[in-house]
Amino acid sequence: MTRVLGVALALLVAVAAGSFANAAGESGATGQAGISLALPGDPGNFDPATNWLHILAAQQFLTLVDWDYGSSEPIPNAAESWTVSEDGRTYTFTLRSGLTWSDGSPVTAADFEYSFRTIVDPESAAPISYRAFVIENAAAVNAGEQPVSALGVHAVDDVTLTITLTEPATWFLSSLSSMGHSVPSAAREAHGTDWVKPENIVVNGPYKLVEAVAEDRYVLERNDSYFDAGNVDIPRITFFVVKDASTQLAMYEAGELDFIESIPPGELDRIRDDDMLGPEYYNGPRFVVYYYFFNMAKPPFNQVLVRKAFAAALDKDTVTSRITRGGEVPATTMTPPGSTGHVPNETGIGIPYDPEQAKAWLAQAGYPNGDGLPEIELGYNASQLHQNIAQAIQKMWQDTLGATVSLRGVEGRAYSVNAAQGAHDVWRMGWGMDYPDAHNIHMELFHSSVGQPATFKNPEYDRIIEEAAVASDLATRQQLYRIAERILVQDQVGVIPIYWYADNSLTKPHVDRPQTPQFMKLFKDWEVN
Amino acid sequence: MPALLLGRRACRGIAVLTYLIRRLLWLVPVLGVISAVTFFLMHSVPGNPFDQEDKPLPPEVIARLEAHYHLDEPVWRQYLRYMGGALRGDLGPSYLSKDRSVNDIIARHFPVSFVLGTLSLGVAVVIGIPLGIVSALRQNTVADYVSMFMAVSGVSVPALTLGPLLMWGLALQLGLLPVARWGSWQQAVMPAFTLGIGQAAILARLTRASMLQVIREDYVRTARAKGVSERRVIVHHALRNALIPVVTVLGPLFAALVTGSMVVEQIFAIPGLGDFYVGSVGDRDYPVIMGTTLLYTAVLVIANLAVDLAYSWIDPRIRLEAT
Amino acid sequence: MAAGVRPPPATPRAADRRRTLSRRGGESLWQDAWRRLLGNRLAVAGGAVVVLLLAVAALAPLLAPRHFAEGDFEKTFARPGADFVLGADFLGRDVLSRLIFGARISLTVGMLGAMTAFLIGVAYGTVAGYAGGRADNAMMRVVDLLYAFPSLLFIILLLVVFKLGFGQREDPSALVRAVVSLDRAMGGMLFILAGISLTSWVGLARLARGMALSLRETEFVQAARALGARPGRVVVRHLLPNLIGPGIVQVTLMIPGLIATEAFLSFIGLGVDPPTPSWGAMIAEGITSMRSHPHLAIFPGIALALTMLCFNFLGDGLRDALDPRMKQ
Repeated sequence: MTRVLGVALALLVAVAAGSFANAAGESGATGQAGISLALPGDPGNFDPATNWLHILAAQQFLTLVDWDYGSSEPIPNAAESWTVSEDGRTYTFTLRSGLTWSDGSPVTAADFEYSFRTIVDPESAAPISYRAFVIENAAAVNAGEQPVSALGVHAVDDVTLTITLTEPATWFLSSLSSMGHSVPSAAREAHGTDWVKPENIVVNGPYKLVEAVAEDRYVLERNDSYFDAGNVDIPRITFFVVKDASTQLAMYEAGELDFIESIPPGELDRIRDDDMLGPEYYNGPRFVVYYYFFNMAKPPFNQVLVRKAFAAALDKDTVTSRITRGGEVPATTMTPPGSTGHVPNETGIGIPYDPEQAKAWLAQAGYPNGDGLPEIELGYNASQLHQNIAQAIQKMWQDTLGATVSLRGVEGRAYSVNAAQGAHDVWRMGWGMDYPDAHNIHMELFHSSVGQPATFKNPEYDRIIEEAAVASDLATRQQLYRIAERILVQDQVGVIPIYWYADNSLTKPHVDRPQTPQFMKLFKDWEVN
Repeated sequence: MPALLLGRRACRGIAVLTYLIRRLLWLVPVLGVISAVTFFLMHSVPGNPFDQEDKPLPPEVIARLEAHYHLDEPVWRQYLRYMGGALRGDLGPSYLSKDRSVNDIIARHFPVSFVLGTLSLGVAVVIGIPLGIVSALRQNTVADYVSMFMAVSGVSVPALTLGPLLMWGLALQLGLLPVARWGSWQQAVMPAFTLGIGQAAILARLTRASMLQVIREDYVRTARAKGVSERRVIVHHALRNALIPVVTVLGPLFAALVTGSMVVEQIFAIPGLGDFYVGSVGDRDYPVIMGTTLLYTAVLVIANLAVDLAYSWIDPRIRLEAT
Repeated sequence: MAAGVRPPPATPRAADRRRTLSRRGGESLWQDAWRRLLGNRLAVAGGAVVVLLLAVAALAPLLAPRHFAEGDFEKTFARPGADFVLGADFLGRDVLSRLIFGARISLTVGMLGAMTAFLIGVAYGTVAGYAGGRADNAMMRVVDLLYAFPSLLFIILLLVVFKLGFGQREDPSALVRAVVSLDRAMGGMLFILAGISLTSWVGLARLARGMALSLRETEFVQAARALGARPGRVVVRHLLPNLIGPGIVQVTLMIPGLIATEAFLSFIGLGVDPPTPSWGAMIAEGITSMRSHPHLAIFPGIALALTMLCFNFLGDGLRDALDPRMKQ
C-alpha cells in the first residue's frame, strides 16, 4: 500500500520533472549579448493593422513618419519626404528607395495602402478603426456603406502614397507615429491571423520576432534588412511576461531583467536611497494624464459650484508626494507638458488647492459644511494604486468638505462604459496620448459626439476644439486650446485633472537608453556596453 | 448468468468497467449544467470584451465588434452556438488574443498548472504524511505538538505572504534559486512549496487522526501481543490501514492544487491556466471562462473517480456504487 | 467520504458507539468531551486565543488607539514606534487600529460564513437523508453537481455577478437596492459572505445526509416514529443533537479556510470596500511594498496565521474530544 503510493507519486513527479526538459532550450537566451525586459501581460495578437500599437509591433514595422520629441516635429522614417496640398487635406509621401521586407521583397506604397484599408475594413473588426476616421470615407467604409477601395489612401506608384483627409488636420502627421504601420500584404493574406507568429512573420523594421511562447517570453533579433541596421546596437531583446510589479522588481534586483518600468510606489523610497539601485533609477515625464470625471446628470454634481468645491478640496501635491511618490507632476489642466496645446502653469488656468475657497463654494451651492450633501460614490478600476489614491481623496473630501464618500472598485472591462453611463458620481480615468497633440485628448474624450450622457458637454467648447483641429497656425491652436481647457477644467469643471504620470524606471548600468520621453520605446536607439 | 462462467477476477473487471462508464457518463449532465450556469451568470454581468479600461470605444465600433462575434444575439442562442462548437471539440476563439483558440490556450497552459499541481502534491505528501505519523505515534508529547504545530503553521501562512517571503529569502538574500518564471526545476521549487505546504497540513492531520484510530484496533494489539517488532507493527499493520482514508483525499487535494494555483502563478510569473481564469473573468473573455471552467470541472470529477477506483482496489471490502 | 464508496462493514465497536450517540446530549457525553478537550493543551491554548480575538473584535472601538480610517499624510509609512505601535500605512493610518478593526471582518467572514454553510448543509442533508428514496436521490444529484464545480472559480464568478450585477444604480427593484445598501453598510462583506456560504455547504450536506441515513435505521428513531412522532420532531429531537458534535468540528476546521479565501479575494480585487480593513486586504496592500516597509504585510500576516493556527488546533482538539473512539 505505502509502496504503491510511493511508486505512483514518484512516477507523477518524474513526469512533471521530465516536462522541464522541453523548456530547457531557452537557457542560452540571456547568455547571448542582448537585454531582457518585462512585459506586464501577454501581447496576444499584435498585428498593428487590427490592434492598438504594441511595443513588439513598434519595433518591427515601419511607419511613414516618426516624431522627434526634442523638436516636436515629424521626422522621416519609411517616407523620405512629403508635401501637403494647398487646402491642407491631401498629403503626398515619397518612400525611401531600396526598402525591403525581411523576405527580400520590396516595400512599396501599396503596403501602406493595404495597412490603412485593413484598419477600416469592417471585416477586420479592428478596435482602432475610429482613429482613421479623419481620412476621407473611412467612417463610411468601416460602416460597410462603401467598398474599402473608396478609402482616401492611394498608392500612386511604388514609392508615392497619397492620403486625403476629410478636413485639414495639422495633428495628422504626429498621429502617424502610432498608426498606419506598413504591413506585409502577401504574408498576411497567406497566413491569416497566424502571420505574426515567428515562423510566418515578415518585417521591415529594426527587429524581427524569432521566438514566441505565449504568456512566457517573446524574443526579438536585429533585422539585417532594416534600412538603418548598421546603427542598431542591441542584437537581441528578450521580453518575459511578468504581471506582478513586485516580481519584476525582484527579478531586476537578481539580475534576471535589465530594465523595468513599473515599480510599486511603496518601494520607490528604498530604491532612491539604495547605493546600488539609486544611480540606476530614472525619473522623467510621460504623456499620460490621470483625472476624475464628474457625473453631471444628477445632484449634487449637476451644480457647477459643487464641482468647483470638490476640485478645490483635492490636494494634488499630497497625492503625488505621498501616494504615487514617483515624481509625478500635479496637473492643472489636461494636456501633458511637451505636447502641442499644453497650457503652461503661468496662465493660471485650473483650480488650485484651496480648502477655504472650497468650503465657501460648497456653502454657496447650498451645502454649508456638507450638510444635506448626498453620499458621493467614487468609482475606480480595481487596482492597488487607484484604490490608494481614491482612499486619499476620499479622506480629503471628507475632512475638508464634510462629504460622505463611498468607494467602489470595479474590476476589468465593465468599468469605463458603466462609469460613463452614470454608475458612479465621480470616477477615475486615465489617458495615454497616442500622439503629442491636444487634439488627441479633447476630440477623443470630451467632444459631445463621443461623450456618454452623464459627462461634460458644452457647445462652445465643441466649437473651439473643432476650430483648433483644422487651424493651421500653431499660435492660434495654442490659444484655442487654452480657451478650451479653461472651459473644461475651470469654468465648467467637467473633470479634475490630477497628475501627469512619470516614467519611473530602473536600467542596469551596462544599458544606455535615450532619456527623452516617448510614447513607445524604440530599442533601435538603445545601446549596451 | 454469464458471471458464473467467468472467473471472479473477470467478473470484478466487468463491474469496474461498468462503474467507470457510468461515472464518466455522469460527466455529461454535470458539464451541461455547469456550462449553462456559468454562461448565463457571466452574460448577466455588464461589460463586454472590447471595452478598454481607459479608452471607451465609440458605440458603433463596439456594435460592429459584437456583431462579428455574435454577441448581439440573445444569450440562449449564443449558448447553443457555443455548445454546438464545444461538442465538436471547438471551444471557440479567445476574444482578446485573436490568434489563439481556447483549445490552444488549454493545450499550452494547462500542462503547466498540471505539473505545478503534481509537484505540489509531492511536497504535500512528503511533508504531511511523515509529520502525521510521528505525531500520532507520540500522541500528546512534545513531538506531537511540534509536528502538528509545524504542519498547521504551513496551512496558516497564506501563499500571498509565503511566496514573496520565500522569494526574498531564498532568491534575493541567499541567491540559491531563480526569482521567478517557469522552465527549470530550480524555478519550480518555491512555487511548488508555496502551493503544497498548505495541503501538507491537511494530510498531516488526517494521517494523525487515522493512525490514532488504527493503532487502537484489535489486530494491531494482537500483532503486538504476538511479539511482532514495533517497527513491523507500525509499517505492516498500522500504516497500511491508516493510509486508506488518506488516499481518498488525494483526489480532491490534487484537483484543488491544479485549479487553485492562481496566486502562486501570478507571484512567480508562471504561464499556467489559473491566471487565465481570473484574467478572463475581468476581461469578459467568455470562451476562455467557459473553457477553463469546463476543464477544471472535468479534472475534479476525474480525480475523484480515480481515487474511488484506487480505494476499492486497495481495500477490496469496499464495493463500487455508481453515482 | 468520497462519492460512491460504501463504508467498511460495522465492527463490533459500532454498537457501543450507537449507544453513546443515542444518549442525545446526555450529560456525561458532553462532560466527558469537555474533560478530554481540557486535557489537550494545544486545543486549550487555541481556544483561549480565539476567545481573546472575539473579545478584541467585539471591543474594537474601545481598544483601538485610533479609528481605522483616520490618517495623517505627514506620517505615511511610519515605522513601528511610540507614536504608532505597529507603524502606519501608506495613508498614515495606524496599523494596530486597522488590525483590531480588521479582526471584525476576518472573524465574521470566517465564523458567520462557516455557520451559514453549516445551517444550509445540515438542513439540506438531513432532509435528504431522512426523506430517502427519490427525493434523496434528486437532492444528492444537486450536491454532486455543486461538488464538481471548482469552488474557487464559482466564488469568483458569484462575486463578480453580485458586485456588478447588483451594483448597477439603475436597477429599480427595491429588494436589490436594499441588498446593495446593506452590503455597503457592511463594508462590502455581505456579498463575500454570500459567495462563501453558497460554495462551502456541500461537504456538510453529505455528512449530514450520511448520518441521517444511518440514524434513521437506529432503534431509538424507529421507536420514536412508531410512537407517532412527526418527522419534524424526529429530526429536531433526535437527529440534530447527534449532528452537533461532528458539525462543530467541521465548522471549526472550515473557518481558517474561509479566512484565507477572503484574503485571496482581496488579493484579486474582489475583497471588502476600502477603507474597511480586513487582514487579507491589508496583506494585499502591504505586499507590494514588502521590501521597503515590511511592517505593512508582516503584522496582518502574523495575525492571520495565528488565528488560523488557533482555529485549527481548537478544531482538532474538538474532534478528538467528541469522538468516543479516541478515549484512552
